Amino acid sequence: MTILLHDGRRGGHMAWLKETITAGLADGAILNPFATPPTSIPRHPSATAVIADLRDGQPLGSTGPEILFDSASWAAVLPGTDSWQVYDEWDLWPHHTRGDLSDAGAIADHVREVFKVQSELGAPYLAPTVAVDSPTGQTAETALELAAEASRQQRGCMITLCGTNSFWRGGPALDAYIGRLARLRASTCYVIPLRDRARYPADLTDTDAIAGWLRSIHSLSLRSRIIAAYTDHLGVIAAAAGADTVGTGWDQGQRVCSPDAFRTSEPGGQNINYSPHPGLLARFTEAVARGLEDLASTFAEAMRWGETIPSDMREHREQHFRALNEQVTAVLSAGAAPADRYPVVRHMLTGADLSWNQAVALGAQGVSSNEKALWLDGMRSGFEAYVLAER
Amino acid sequence: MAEFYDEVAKALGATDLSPLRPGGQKRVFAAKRGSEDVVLKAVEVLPPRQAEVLERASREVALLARVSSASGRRIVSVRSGLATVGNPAAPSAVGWLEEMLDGEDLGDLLGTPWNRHEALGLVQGVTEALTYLHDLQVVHRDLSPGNVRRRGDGTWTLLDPGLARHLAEFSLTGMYQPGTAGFRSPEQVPGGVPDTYSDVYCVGILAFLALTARLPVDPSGAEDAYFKRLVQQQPMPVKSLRTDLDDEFAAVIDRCLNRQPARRYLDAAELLDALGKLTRSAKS
Repeated sequence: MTILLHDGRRGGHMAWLKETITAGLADGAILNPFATPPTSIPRHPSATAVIADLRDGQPLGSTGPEILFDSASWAAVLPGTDSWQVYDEWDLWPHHTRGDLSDAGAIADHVREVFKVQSELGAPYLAPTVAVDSPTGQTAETALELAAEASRQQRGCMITLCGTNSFWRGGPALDAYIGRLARLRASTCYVIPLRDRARYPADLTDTDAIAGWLRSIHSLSLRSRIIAAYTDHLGVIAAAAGADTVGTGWDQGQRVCSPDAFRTSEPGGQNINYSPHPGLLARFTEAVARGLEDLASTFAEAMRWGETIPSDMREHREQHFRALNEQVTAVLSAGAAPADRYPVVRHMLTGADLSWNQAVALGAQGVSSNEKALWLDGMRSGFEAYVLAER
Repeated sequence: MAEFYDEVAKALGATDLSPLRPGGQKRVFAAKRGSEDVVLKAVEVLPPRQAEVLERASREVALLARVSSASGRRIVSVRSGLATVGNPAAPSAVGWLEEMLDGEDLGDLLGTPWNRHEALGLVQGVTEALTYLHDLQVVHRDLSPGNVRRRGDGTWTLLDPGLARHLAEFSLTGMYQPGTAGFRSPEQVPGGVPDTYSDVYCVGILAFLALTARLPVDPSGAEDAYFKRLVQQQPMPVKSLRTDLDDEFAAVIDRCLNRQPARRYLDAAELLDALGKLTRSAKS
């Protein structure tokens, strides 16, 4: 199991990255040009400095933490993106033609620039992409052409797939599109579920979209390693479908991918100091966690897997990553094939369902059937729809 | 007045024409060139699709010339270049000669279920032939029984890659999709994008048909309904009709026929590799 930490704009972010990776709670980081600058500025060291710092002190012969650089071109071409302060310091588009993917030449040039930056950083080649909202149409073709061009320039490179809910619910057209991507035989697929809003937990009301996302992970995982980016606690079901790596972090913007994170008007990146309750497959604010604790301390402690309610931000982070790691590792350990993993996930979901019913019956503030629906029911419905289609 | 195919035959030095297939815009004849038995293919170039017809004929001849000798008789060989009748820039007909194959069309051999050995031979033979096309990033797109022939020595040979598509040259989706009803892949529907894995699906159809005497997806009824079944319906496992079949071979056929292309063998080379493992495990 691998946890990779997404980049962010929080001051002190880099120190937390180092601390979390050094503590063995995460295995690496995914930098992006909206968050980390190419040259250091106050409180924000350059990408080169960050990478050097993260790799510093690694034992000889160790590969060190995994560090990716996601060019986030998918965010750069989203309507409404205007957080260019750091991004525009990077040379990711030739001749200042930001967002120009109008023809094959422009696509090839952009891929070349992205790969050049990644090469200079010593990061693996990770293809740029655009966010797609349908598996058919010009945007989908552009995304495919970006991946194909990247594979031509660097055979076996990692490719990126970034889709909205409407893309993931594309049915047979989605499957056909995933087939075309699979033909590229990428070493790794970096899969991003793009949500409408930066709400945490992510909106999971679209069962077909969750099932399509999982089905696509399953299909691509037959030949490629899957990094389920911006997935956080949904890593449990992503791992069941074939992902081996989960992208997450401490702020909303690292756990849920949405256009908000790239808009100056809606930073969408706050840390809400969630207290992990892995027994419920949920995270609660401190106030809610304390309310539950007051009503049924033994039950609440069991739901926290014996942990105390975090008293500071470090404990929040540590508990979160520890719980996530244990749950996803349990899924992966069940077997290599997705079908081997389903019973483990189903057991977790069923157990969480029973526990949620018990928690809701206690009547704690913020622990109602509404919260249960947000944290569990959507995830469970999407997972079951995916599994049903696999029979 | 001479027919267009007589003019083509004359241009190619072919004589003694005897029809092999019913008439139409493309005519196929058994013929002689000197003492050699050959097949003459003649295509009338009619408006409004002259450019398309010419391009397709040129592509077929060029492709055959490129792959047939290397394929070791697995793809029919061409015996001439492309001959034109009339103005070379705007010919009224074109044609070429191919080798005359002995043996029988696959269509004549189907009807009752085959045994495993025969079916495996078919899958292996067709897949080996396809590797020569897929290596060139070419998709056959019409793997129907009329385009597969078993020669007298047992070699399986592919014919008629006239609808073949070079992936690098045609990246856009098209509403027109070639193919034969019953022998299409889910990508060979209007708006679909056939790729090498589409040919793999079609190999699965041939194997399923050979083993069960049934098509995995019923093409009867309205075309739209057939297309819908193709993209939405997962064919039944071959073992549901052939319980005597070993799990390993059945799994290979089922994987070829997976509705989702990413879950099939992506091309003939991948399928051939799986067949090799099947053969090796049977021997060990």
